[in-house]
This record gives sequence, structure tokens and C-alpha cells, in this order.
Amino acid sequence: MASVIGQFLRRSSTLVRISCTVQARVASGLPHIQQYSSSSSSSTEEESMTSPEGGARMSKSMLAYQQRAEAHDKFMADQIAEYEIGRRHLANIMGEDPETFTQEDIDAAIQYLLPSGLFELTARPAMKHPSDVFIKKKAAEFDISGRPFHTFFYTGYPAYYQALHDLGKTMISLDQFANRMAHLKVENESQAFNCGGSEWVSKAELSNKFLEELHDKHYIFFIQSMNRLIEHPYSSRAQDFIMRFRKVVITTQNKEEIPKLMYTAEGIPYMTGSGKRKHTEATVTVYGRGSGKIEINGQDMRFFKVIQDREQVVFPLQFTNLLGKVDLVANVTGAGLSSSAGAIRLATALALRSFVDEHMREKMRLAGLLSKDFRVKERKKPGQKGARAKFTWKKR
Amino acid sequence: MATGVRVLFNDFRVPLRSWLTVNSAWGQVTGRARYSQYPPAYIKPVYLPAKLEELERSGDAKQLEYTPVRAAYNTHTSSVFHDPLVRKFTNHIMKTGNKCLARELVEKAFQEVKRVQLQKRNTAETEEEKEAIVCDPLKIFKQAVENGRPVLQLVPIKRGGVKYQVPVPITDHRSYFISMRWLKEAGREKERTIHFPEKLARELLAAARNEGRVVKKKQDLHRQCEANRAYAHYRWS
Repeated sequence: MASVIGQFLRRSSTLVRISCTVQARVASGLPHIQQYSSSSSSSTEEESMTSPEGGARMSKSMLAYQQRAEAHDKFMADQIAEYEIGRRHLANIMGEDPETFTQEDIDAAIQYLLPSGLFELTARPAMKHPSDVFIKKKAAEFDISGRPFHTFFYTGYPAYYQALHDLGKTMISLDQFANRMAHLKVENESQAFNCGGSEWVSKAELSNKFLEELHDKHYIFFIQSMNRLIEHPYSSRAQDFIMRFRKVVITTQNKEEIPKLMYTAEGIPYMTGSGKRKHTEATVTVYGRGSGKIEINGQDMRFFKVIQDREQVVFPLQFTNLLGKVDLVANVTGAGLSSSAGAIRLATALALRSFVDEHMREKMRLAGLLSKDFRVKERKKPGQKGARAKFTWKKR
Repeated sequence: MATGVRVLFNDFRVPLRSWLTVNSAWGQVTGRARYSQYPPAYIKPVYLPAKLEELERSGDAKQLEYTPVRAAYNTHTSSVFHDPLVRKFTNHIMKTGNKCLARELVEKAFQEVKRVQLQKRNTAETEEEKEAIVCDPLKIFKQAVENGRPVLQLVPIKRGGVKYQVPVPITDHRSYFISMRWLKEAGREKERTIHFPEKLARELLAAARNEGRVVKKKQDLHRQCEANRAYAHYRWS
């Protein structure tokens, strides 16, 4: 029995070793650990343990550290086992194959079985993998003799400085490559890294990645250094390294399908678009082969008294050079003239997508015509005069 | 959570520090704004046709293929009658959100400028004189703003219990702002019988000729800066 326990503890302590970020010094430490784990299970009250081989003394703090690491690993292993059993049960309940039951399936199943209307998303019932639930701790950073594994341990932020070190090495290798290219007089197109569609991880995310509590100055310096790396003409060669610290902002399937033009009974092409701005909704039908007529709620442009609103209605037509070539019929509901104009503008722009080519569509997007303006009036908060304004501060 | 939908109100309620401009290699377009309702990744829209063409020519438009764009303001148009400087000036003149009135005042001022210039041109004798007179109010406005822009500003810096007025270089943005502010103030000065648009028109014409209150204010400021140049090093110590 003791040998079985001893074996288990040995295995768990090797887990502690193997989960380190840097290559563990296995050969030197293992025999000691084997001895200590088997002896620690029997007598924990003793102040310090001496190895039977007469090796280094292990202090109480080291022992406690060792025990904590083992306990944590055991705890995590138990939790993961429970999670796996739960996952399989859930798959059976839902009638799915337990082998291919992913986390998304679990989320969907929990949402179905335990529907919740709570506004606080983190308060809703959920079943996540234990490694997502429990705070990740760093594995043992030093061995039983107290010697740290990582060279940068004494900086206090070994993973962070390791990343900076790698960055420096990458820069040097890119410079060497550039020199070689220049020496061989090879003229390449700019192979700079394309930042589109991704952004830097936040400070919190970086801290989580490194499992180190970074300061603002650490984060700023890191981002500035990475920006310098990106500016290198051959930075696309270091794409893998850079993408470790960038998150993809836009999903790959971003290009939505543009609806095809529809035709009336007379054969006139038309398209409808709907747009919203604040609490106003507008539906616009754009008829091709027109003469520039504009109709808003049965009236003409005089629906808008202010010139700015009229300009807004006309903006997408003028931008796409279709001003006198299409007819516009708009229906707008809701209060607010300026927001009506904005809603009509968006609806028109969305309808005009079907009339124009890819290039013009991209230009419209860059001009902000195809983006919904989701700004609304911010609510008033209790204890304040308005959304942001506070009551008069009285010293006494 | 871990879905593709962004929970929009989470990101920006925390005030973002202005020194942290995390840029793309493309430049300041993706710099973080203070207190913006849009998430940081959203770039400002480029609605002027000339600017768009420049983007495409330089190849930067390709980089922005997958970057989300903010919605255009309701003061943005690609019309030839639109000018960004006039837009800024109108906003500056506007009081308590009365954009209609602000726009009317600016347009009336421009009309007045044109009227005065046309009168001058019609009364001019030689062809050369006629051609020399600029009738475009937009050109006169831009010239007036340029002539009113200071190069330095005075900043109160406390040293040893005394507040000194130290001359300090001014940013472009601020210099435009100060010039426009002086024009507005000049338009609001004492004469009660003459309304704002006419006064403003007068000031614009004067400033375009390098005369008038606005240019005088700029020259006074420069003189003061010159007088206080002994304190210039207080900027650093």
C-alpha cells in the first residue's frame, strides 16, 4: 500500500517538475524527491528532513512548498477527472456522442437544461474546464535545493524578460537576413507584418499569459518594443512570434453577402435597405434608372428643414456618383430629425451596395457610410446629476 | 463570453490613459481616444474623396481591409461645399448645441465677405486690381486663420513660489484652435448694433490682410514671448 502511495506521489512530483516552463533538471533532483515524498507521507511533524543519503537538508518552507505544489496538482487532477465524467454524463443526457462532445456543446447543453435570465453573465450556470475556472499558478520555479530553473528568475518576471529576450534575438536575426538580402542585392517587396484584423493583447491578458503581475511600465515597454519589431521590413518572417501576443479581432468570415438587385414588373432595378440611428428607423427603396427624385414619408426634401440633414440624405448618393441617376423612397419612423437623416443615410448606403462594385463598396466602408452609429444617450446614474455630471461638491 | 459577439459596454467605461497610444504600423489612425463609445480597434472614417485617393495610392487602404470603421458624423459629407476647417469653426461658434444657428452665422459671415469683395472688385479700375481681389470667402477664411496662428504660447510655470509666464512651443492643433477662438471673440466684441456675422466678416477680411484685432493679438503674444525668453529654460528645470 505504502509503495502504491509512494508511486503516486512520485508521479505527482514528476508532474510538478515536468510542468515547469524551462527544462527541468531531472537527473540531479529525482532520487531526493522520491525519498522525500515517501517519507513526507509518513511524518510531517518533523522540523527538517535529512535524506538517507546524507544529502542537503530540506527546510520546512521548502517542504511546505513541495506539499502545496503536490496538493494543487492532485486537486487539479481530481477536478479534471470529475469534469470529464460530468462531460460524458451530459453528452449521454443530450443524446450526443461523448467522444466528440466539445466545450461549445457543453455550453449549449447547459443553456438548454438550465436556462437563466440573469444579466450578470458570470452568475449564470456554467460548466467549464477546471483550468479555465481555477487561477493558474506557476509550476515549481526552483528545485529542492532552492536553485531556480529559469535564468531570469531573480528579475521577478522571468517569462516577461524571456519574451523580451526572444524579441531581441528575433530582431537581430531579421537584421541579419536584411543584410544578407542587401548584400545579394535582392530587392523584395515589403514583407512587413500586416497588422490588419488583429490587435495587441491587453495588459491583463499579457499578465495571464506570463502568469506574472505586470506593471503598466512593463506593458508599455513591451508594446513599444513589439511595434518596433513590426516596423522591420521583413517582420512577416517573425509572424508566429508576433501572433503569440496579438489577438485576432475580426473573425475570418467578415465579408457579408451583398443582396442582388431586384426588379419591378416594369424591369426597373431596385433595392431596399433599412437603417437605425438612436431610436429612429428608416426603410429606403432605391430605384435604378431614375432622375434623382427623393421622397421622404410622402414629402419631398422639404421634410428636412435643416440643410445639414438634407446633405446627409444626399451624402451616399453623391459619394457613389449616383446623385441624379437613382430615385429614393424613404419611410422613417421615430422622433428626431437629425437621427432620421442618419437612419436614412445608413439605409440608403446599404441599399446602394447592390448598385456599385466591390471597389466602391470598400470606399464606402472606409468613409463610414456602412457602419451603424450605435451611440445612444447615456443613462443618468443615481447619486449624480446626469450621465457624467456630478452634483456640486461642497467641501463642508 | 467566448462568443464572437462583442459586449460593447465593457471596454470603454474605464477611462483610457491618453499616453498609451497603441498604434499599428500604419500610424495614429488606430490610436486610442479618450472616452470613446467605440472600441479601440475602430478607426476614424475617411470621407473626403481626396484623402481616400491618397490612402489608396499609398497602399494603406489595403492594410485597413479588416479594420472596423466608425460611422461617419452627421457633419461629414463628400460634397465640394464641405470643408473640415469650416466645420471645426462652426462647432466652435456653436453654443449649447444650436448647430443650425452656428451654421447660419458662419454662412452669413461668408456671404458678407463675398459681398464686400465683389463691391471692391466692381469698383476697381484696372484689370490687374480686379484679379488681385480674392472673392472666395473660403480662401479668405483660411488665410485669416493662418495669419492668426501663433507660433508660441505662454504657460504659467511655478518656480520658487512665483508663477512665471514661460514661452513654450505650440502644437498645430492648438494654434488653429487659438486662431479660431480669437476670430470668434473678435466677432463678439462690443458694438451692439452690428451683429455677429458682419463683425466676423470684417475680422476675417482684416486678418486675411494681416491687420485687425486677431493679428494684433497674435503679435502681442509673440512680443510677450520674446520679452519672457529669459524664463524659457523653466520649461525643463
